[in-house]
Amino acid sequence: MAELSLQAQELARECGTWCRYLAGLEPSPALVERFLDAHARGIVEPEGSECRFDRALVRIARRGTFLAQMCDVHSRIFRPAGLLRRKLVLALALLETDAKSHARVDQVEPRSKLRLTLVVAAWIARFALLALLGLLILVPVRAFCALGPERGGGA
Amino acid sequence: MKSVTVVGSGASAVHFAQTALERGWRVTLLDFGRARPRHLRPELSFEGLKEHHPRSSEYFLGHDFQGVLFPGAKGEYYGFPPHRDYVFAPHPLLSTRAAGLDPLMSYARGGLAEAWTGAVFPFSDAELRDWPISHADLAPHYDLVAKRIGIAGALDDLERFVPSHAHLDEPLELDLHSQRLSDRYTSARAQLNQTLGVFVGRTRAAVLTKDRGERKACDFKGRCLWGCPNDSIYSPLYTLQELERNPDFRYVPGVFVRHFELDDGGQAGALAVEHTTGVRERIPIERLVLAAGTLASARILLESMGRASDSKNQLGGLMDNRQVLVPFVNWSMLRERAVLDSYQYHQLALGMTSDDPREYVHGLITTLKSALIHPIAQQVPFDLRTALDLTRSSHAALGLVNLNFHDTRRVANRVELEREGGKSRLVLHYAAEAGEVGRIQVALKRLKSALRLLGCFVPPGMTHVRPMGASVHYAGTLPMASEGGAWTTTPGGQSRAFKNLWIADGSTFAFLPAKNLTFTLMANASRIAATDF
Repeated sequence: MAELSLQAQELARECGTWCRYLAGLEPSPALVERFLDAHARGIVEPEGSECRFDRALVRIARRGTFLAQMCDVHSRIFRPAGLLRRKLVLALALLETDAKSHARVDQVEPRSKLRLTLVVAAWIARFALLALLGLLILVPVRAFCALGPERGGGA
Repeated sequence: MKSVTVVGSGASAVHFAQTALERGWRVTLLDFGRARPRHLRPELSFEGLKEHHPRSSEYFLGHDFQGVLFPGAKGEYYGFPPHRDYVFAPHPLLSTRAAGLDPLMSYARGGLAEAWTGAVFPFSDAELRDWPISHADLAPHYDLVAKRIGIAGALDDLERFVPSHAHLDEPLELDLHSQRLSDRYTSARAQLNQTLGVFVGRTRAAVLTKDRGERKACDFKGRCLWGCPNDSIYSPLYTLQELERNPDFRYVPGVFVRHFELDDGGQAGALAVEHTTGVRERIPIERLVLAAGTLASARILLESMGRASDSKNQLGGLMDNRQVLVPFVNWSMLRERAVLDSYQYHQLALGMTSDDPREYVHGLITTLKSALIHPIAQQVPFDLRTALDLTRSSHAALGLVNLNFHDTRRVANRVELEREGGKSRLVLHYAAEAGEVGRIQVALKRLKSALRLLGCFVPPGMTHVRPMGASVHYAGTLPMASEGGAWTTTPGGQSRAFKNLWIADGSTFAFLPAKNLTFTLMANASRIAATDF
C-alpha cells in the first residue's frame, strides 16, 4: 500500500468498502490490483460529461457499508447507470471471478421456502426504508450539487 | 479431376466441401480463418478455473475488462467471453452500416458456429413450402450430417414439429432443474398440449455423449459458453481438421476474398483476393461456391457486380429470426443448491402450435448453471447487495426461454454495397414484418401460462426482445426457386446469373422457420454438392 499514490490508496479503500458491502469480505490484493487497473484505464467513468451528484454519491457511499447501501438504493432508482453503480458492478464482477471470493458470490446455503419468504420480505422492507432515507438525505445533496457550476451529466 | 473453389469455413462450407470430396472433386477452401486460441487448462471445470487459475479474473472478464457488463451498456444476460472475441471481430477491410438490424459476421476458422449453442432442428415440409425442395430431399443429408457431427437427443413430443433423422445419440443426462421441468410437463401435459398448444421435449444438440476420435464426450465442466475444453460441442473447425487429411483438399487461410472477375463469356473467371500480408492475388477458378455466410456472400457478389457494371447494387429478401428472452423462476428449485459444473446450454426445448404451421414458435429452455452473476444481478430492480442476495438464493431456480420467431422474405429488407473513395461498405436495411409485436405478445402470453403450469414464475419487466441481428440467423438474399430471375438460384444452388457459381449458404433459403438454421445449412450444403457435383 505504501507504494500506491494517494489517489490509488483512496481507490483501494473504496474497493474494500464495496467488497464488504456486497459480499461481507475483504478484497484480495489481486482483486484490488484489478480494481485499480480498471480505473487507470478509464473504463469506469460513464461516457459523457462529469456529473457532480455522481461524485457526491461515491464520496458518501465509500464512508461505510450502510451508507454504501443507502446510496446504492438511491442510485438504482435515480442514477442506474451512474458512476456508483458502475463501480459496484465492477467490484461484483471482480468478486465473482476471484479465487478468494467467487464461492461467496456463486452460492448460498439453501433455505426453506418459509425462511426464504421471510428473508425476501425483510430485504424488500430494507430496500423501501433505505429508499426513503436516501430521499431525505440525498435529494438535498442533489439540489446542492445542481446549484454549483454544472458540468453536465443529468439523470 | 474436376476442381471447385469454396469461400468460407463455416457450417455450409465444410459440409459442402466434404460431400464434394466424397464425390471425387478436388476442393480448395479459401478463408480468412482467424484461429481459435488454445483452451486454457482444459482439465479444469468452471469452478475449478475460478479456484485454481491465478488469472481467472482476466480469463472471465478479459485483460481490458471487456467482459464486465456495466449498467446501461448494450449487453445481455450472457455476456460473450472476451477470449472468444475472435469469432465476431470485424474484418479491417470491411465496414458496415445497418438500419433496423445489428449484424454480426465472423472471420473465424469455423465461422459463426464457433459460437453456437449446438441446437439442431430439421425443417418440416410445412416450413419448406416456399422452397423448391421438400423434406425428403434434405432428409438423407440431415442423416449424413448427423453421422458426421454427432447429435444427442430423443424422439418425444417435439417430434410433431421436429422431423426425426438417423444417428441420434443418447441425450445428455438432465440437470436437476431440467429434470423437474420435464417431470412437471409429464403431469401437466394434457392441459399444456390441448389448452395452450405447448409441447416440451428434449433439445437436439450437436454435443457428444460418447467419445468420437479426438473429441471427448461432455463431462459437465460448465465451460460451454467459454469454449468447451473437450470439443464436445460441434464446430465446423473439426470437420475442417478432418478434411485437411484428404490429399484432394487444400485449405488456404489468411485470405480475404474481395470479388470475382468475369471472363469473356460472362462467367466467374478468377477470384481477386488479398492475403493478410497485404499481397493481392488473382486465383483462377473453374467452379466457385460461395458459402461464406449470407452477408459475406452477398458482399462478394455485389462487389463483383459493381465492378463489372452498375446494374446490381442490392439484394433483397434478407431474413433473420426475432428472438425474445424470457427469464423464469422455478418455485420447486428454490431450496436447491446450484450445480455449476454442468452442461450449460439448453437441455429442453418447446414448440408452440399455430394455425399456419409455418408460424410455429420454437423455444430453447436453458436452466441457469455456470454463468457470470453480475450481468443478471444488476438487472434486478434492487440495490446490488439485495439483488445479489436474491440472485444467489434463486440461482438454482433461474432459467431462460429463448423464443424464436419465423421470418419471411421482403424485398425492402436488403443488402447493398456503397462505394466511397474506392472503398466499399456493406449497408443493411431491415424492418420487422407488420404485426410482429402482436405475434410476440400472443406467444408471450401463452408461454407465461405454460410456465405457470410448469411451476414457474416470470419476473415482471425482465423479458428482453433481442434486436434483429442478434440471432445471427441471416438468410434469403439469393433464394432457391424452381424458376426465377438472375438473383435466384436453381434448386441445386446454381446461380442463374453465372453458370459456374453456386451458393451453398443461408442466402438460398426461401423462408426462415423459427428453428435454429445451422443443421439445415449443413444438410442443404451437402445436398447442393450431391446434386450438381
